[in-house]
Amino acid sequence: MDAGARARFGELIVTGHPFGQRQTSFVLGLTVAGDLSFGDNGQVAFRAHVGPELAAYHACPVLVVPVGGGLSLSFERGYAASVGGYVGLAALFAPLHPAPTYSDPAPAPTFLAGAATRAAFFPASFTQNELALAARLVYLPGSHGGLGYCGGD
Amino acid sequence: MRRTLVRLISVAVAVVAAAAPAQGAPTEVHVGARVGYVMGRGWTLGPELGSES
Repeated sequence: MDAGARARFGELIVTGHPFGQRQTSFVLGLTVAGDLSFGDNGQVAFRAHVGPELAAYHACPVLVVPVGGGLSLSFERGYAASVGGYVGLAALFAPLHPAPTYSDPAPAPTFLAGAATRAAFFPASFTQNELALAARLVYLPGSHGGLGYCGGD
Repeated sequence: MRRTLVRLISVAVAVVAAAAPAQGAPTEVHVGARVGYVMGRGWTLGPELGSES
């Protein structure tokens, strides 16, 4: 059994058209994540991950690719805390990101779907190493500072 | 198992809820399912929650 949570606090750093005429924005942020895993013997392990993340938002179709890495900490009863590192990558997709208009000021939100992976390495504790793969559904409200609107207007 | 799952989801919600208000409402919210492989434990499976702002 396993459960994870993450939060990213980011700022839009640049918006341009490096990949054709469609807008691409880059958001740089700090990611904080944690996950709990329960072993068959009832032993609980907690891992925390902190590090920078650069996310590219391209529209349209909407493609969001966050890439990050940083410091990982692993805690488990009976063992010394382990320090390591992680790398993470995700790819999320949606066909449209409709713009609010005068006639439709609150268009339907955009839902992105995709996959994310994270590998954590603990050099001093081989048995804590983890490779995780997640399927994600992302809710994006009608207004998003880093993503260009397209479709539905 | 069911109580454990509910407890885990509650912990995840609490972590995200505690982190998100630091910069106002989150711009994005995501839910998901994750499968992992830990060297000393084997396969793990469970929910995932998150926010991006």
